[in-house]
Amino acid sequence: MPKLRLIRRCVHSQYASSPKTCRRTHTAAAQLNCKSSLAESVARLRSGTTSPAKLLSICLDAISARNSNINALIHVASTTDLRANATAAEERWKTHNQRGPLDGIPIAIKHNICTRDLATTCGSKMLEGFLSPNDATVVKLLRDRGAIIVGKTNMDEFGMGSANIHSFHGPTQNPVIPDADHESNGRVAGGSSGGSAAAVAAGMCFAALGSDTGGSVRTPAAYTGVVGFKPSYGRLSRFGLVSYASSLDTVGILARRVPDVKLVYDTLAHYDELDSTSVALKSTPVPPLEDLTGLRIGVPQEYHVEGLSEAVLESWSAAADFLASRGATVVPVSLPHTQQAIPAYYVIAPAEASSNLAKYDGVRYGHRSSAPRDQAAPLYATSRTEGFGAEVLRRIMLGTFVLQANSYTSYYQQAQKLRRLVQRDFDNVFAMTNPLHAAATGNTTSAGQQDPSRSSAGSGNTHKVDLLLTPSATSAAPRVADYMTSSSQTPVNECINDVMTVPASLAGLPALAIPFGHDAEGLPVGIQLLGQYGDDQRVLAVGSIVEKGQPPKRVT
Amino acid sequence: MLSRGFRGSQPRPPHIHSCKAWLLPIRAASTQPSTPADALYIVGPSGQKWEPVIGLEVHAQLNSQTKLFSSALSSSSASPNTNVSTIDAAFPGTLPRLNGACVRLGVTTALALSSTVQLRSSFDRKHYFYGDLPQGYQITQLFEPIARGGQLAIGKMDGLPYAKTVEIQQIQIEQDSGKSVQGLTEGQTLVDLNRAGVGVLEIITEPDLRSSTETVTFLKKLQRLLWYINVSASEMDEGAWRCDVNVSVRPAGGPLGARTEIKHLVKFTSIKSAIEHEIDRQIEVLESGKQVAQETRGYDVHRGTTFKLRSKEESQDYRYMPEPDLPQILLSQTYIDDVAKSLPEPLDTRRNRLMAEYSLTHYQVEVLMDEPDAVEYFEQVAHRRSGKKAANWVIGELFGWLKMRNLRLRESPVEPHRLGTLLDLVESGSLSGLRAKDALHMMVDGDARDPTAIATEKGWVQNNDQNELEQLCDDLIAQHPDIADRVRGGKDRLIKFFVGEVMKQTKGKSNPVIVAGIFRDKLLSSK
Repeated sequence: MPKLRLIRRCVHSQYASSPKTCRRTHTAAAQLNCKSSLAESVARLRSGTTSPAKLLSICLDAISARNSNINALIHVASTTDLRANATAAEERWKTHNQRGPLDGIPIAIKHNICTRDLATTCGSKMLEGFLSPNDATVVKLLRDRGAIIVGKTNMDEFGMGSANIHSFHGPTQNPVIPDADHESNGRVAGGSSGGSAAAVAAGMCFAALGSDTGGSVRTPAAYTGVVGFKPSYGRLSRFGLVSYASSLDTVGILARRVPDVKLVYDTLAHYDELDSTSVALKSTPVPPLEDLTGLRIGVPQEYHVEGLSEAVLESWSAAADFLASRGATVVPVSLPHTQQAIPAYYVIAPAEASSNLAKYDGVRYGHRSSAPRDQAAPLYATSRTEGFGAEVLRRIMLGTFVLQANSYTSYYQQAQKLRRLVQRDFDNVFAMTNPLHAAATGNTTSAGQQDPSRSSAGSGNTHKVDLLLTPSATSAAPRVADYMTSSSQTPVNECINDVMTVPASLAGLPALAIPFGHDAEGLPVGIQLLGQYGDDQRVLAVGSIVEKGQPPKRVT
Repeated sequence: MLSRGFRGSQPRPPHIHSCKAWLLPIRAASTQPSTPADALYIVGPSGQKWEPVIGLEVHAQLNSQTKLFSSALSSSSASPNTNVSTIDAAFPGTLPRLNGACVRLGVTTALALSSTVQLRSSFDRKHYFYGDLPQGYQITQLFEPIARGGQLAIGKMDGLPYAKTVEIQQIQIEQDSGKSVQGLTEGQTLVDLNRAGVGVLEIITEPDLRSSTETVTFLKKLQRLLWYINVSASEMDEGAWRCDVNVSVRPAGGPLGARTEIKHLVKFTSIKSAIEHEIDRQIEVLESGKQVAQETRGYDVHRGTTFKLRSKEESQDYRYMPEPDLPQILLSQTYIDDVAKSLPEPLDTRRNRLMAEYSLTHYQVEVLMDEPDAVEYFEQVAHRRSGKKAANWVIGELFGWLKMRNLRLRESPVEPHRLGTLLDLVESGSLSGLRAKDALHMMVDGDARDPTAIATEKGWVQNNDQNELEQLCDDLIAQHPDIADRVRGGKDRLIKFFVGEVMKQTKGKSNPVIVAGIFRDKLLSSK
């Protein structure tokens, strides 16, 4: 097993003797800037050393300086309104009446999450100018806590894409290369939440909401060097998130540091009766960790795929070393059905998409074709042909095909079986029992006899782990030029990249992408932490330690 | 128990179309000779015997207050597009939320049809594009319906000359579509989404029916059952009831033939003639040596014929898919037991009990059972009173007057206790039958007073003070000793003279029957 090398290298790790960490330095005296973390800003708000107005102007400055090049924000809220909100928040902080840690924090929202005051286009001509009568539940929660919605971010049309090149509003430029020319030296921002990731990376907001169906938060986070979190399916309300593939869609959070993500997550993770797939789980608070002794981290061999870049492999290995240096036990594990995740995903997601996007018929809202209609070209057909982009049309056709009566059994049902196998793989390696399956199936494996809430090294099962460590993407952000060519010629290439992210989506697991090192060109690469269903807090707690171990950026 | 239906003096709700379906009693079977079931073969032109085979898909709107997946009101009689939520209009970002009341109605129906309620059921999406289907799919139950199996028996009491049991295949909960209306200009279609998302129960039968008469008898009984258990409204118009009929014919004793489906039938008369026409058409096709094409057909009400809508090849692929926005419905046995406890007595049990307990005729029972809440109403009126008399007043007088006023019993302002009081006044002789009817009409027309108050105010109360009357009679006997003697001597017809005198002196407010009795007692009883 050559892949075991990854683990053996722990022994010779640079961290083996010393737990000292290297990280970007923020001295307390330094001014807040567009790289400052949300958590740090909240601390400054508490101590009265900064104000919501100051935070807002950091973001507005970044927007005016870089958004025309990056194209991260498609709609920016009116500056007058934003300033008024910041002033109101400032008053609350001054009088200690703040509505929570996010009061006065500028946050951006992906274009497929409904807002009453700003359009929700889903990056599509089909919904150009569409104004939702409701705020999404997650937006409402943010507003209730005083967060300031700065604008709506660019995205791949209806969430379909991994590079943010399939947007009616044009592609998003990855801010990792300042002032890049998109076509020549630009890097893709990742998708589909590319606008949210780029906005966070470029300091246009302190956090952003995205959505993750098969990796749409984690991939752009990895490419732009920010933190991206896909919580357990059902933990964040989907009400107001425009559906792409309902059984996979998850509202996700992007921010510059893991504690930032946790602040937003804690604000949003509530059961919502408006979303029937919302899950009420009693979540066990995990105290801030320093020492990871007793924690078992699994390194799934199947993620060591062909085409994994050297930089990513190094980052993965270094993260494993770092975790071991903090006392965690790092062990190889096997998730044998990982390879089946991609075909399963590319049947299930398009199937649900073809269904969810059927409502866009030009009758009640959205684009309505003015082409002459007749029996052969009814209103809905011409409207849909004109309103949807190529990638969306492709997936609708694919989904329509797999749901046909004569292909349902051989495609859709097979994909559902594969999905269950992928889920079972995860249940087999996690020490914690999946709370969704515990009651329903009467789990007969050894995991079933364990304490369902907590695992420990002493539980007797040496094969079970608490978290999984994988890369977040197969490489650093690809060149736009390369991507455009390969994507248009062989659309399947775009899917291959999803191999790191899709399995957790199929299983509904919490997954956190964290920047961890850089490639030879100085572009960020990163790792991903996966937890058992509902174990979001532990993923975040361990994640905040991992990011402290990020190796320093090499000067090239 | 009845408070739900009777609003007392409250203003009546706006009243729409309720007169059309007024009382469709299922007539007694006595006009038909008893026909054995095996004589249902139809002899074709060539002399061959054919057996029709019929199965049904019945769609009945649930009378839940709000829609199946939204909090918009279920009422479709409101102005167009007023009862529509963003969920019903399928706005981006909205999600369905199951209305528990609809599940309960589904379980109620399943239990009433002896169907097996599935502890685990789920919703599916059925896709097709149509202007009045906002989501682009209908949420229904295909793979795991709320209930499977069950049956409904029909027989003599339902108007069929023999007994028969129709098996139910499955019962599913689904949402209704909106309504498309032709616009003012050529090619314009208007869409009303009030109906979009209203809960509908689809009841699918096995192909157990063998004639149009059986089918209509079954449907009438099923319809009555559904409103009897308060699942569905009694009006069959306004699209609250729809039926798709599958028809095939086969040679006597032969294998099943190819079937056609006749879509969207609403009225019993249409269902009957559509089936009959389709049976005849298929026999003609087969006897001419051709094949019946498996296809979907419509019914032309004006011509009385069915016509081809689309062939099997042209039929939609609905691309069914499990509904990912809604988790499974998990029911506990406790829940089902609880619903079972709330079920009223079974229809056939109730019918037999009414006949036995109140000596009602079959016709009276049918009329009562055909009107929502009428049995409960009747039983309250009949409580400690004569069942026969109560039935005469409820059916003959009250229903008759309500019908003149285009009212359903549920809209009637006459509570059972006031009608009961009225009956008591008649029974005690305080009010004449004719005056009692006048009083009832006043109550139906909105007089909310007690019948005694009405009669007193109108001066209709008959004097029945026994002592007063006896004193008057004694006085008259004293004043007319000669006539009294002649009565005693056997001329009892002359009692009429005394009665007439009493009526004169009491200005007609005495009950002549009672007065005559007093004189009879005084002049003849000593004999």
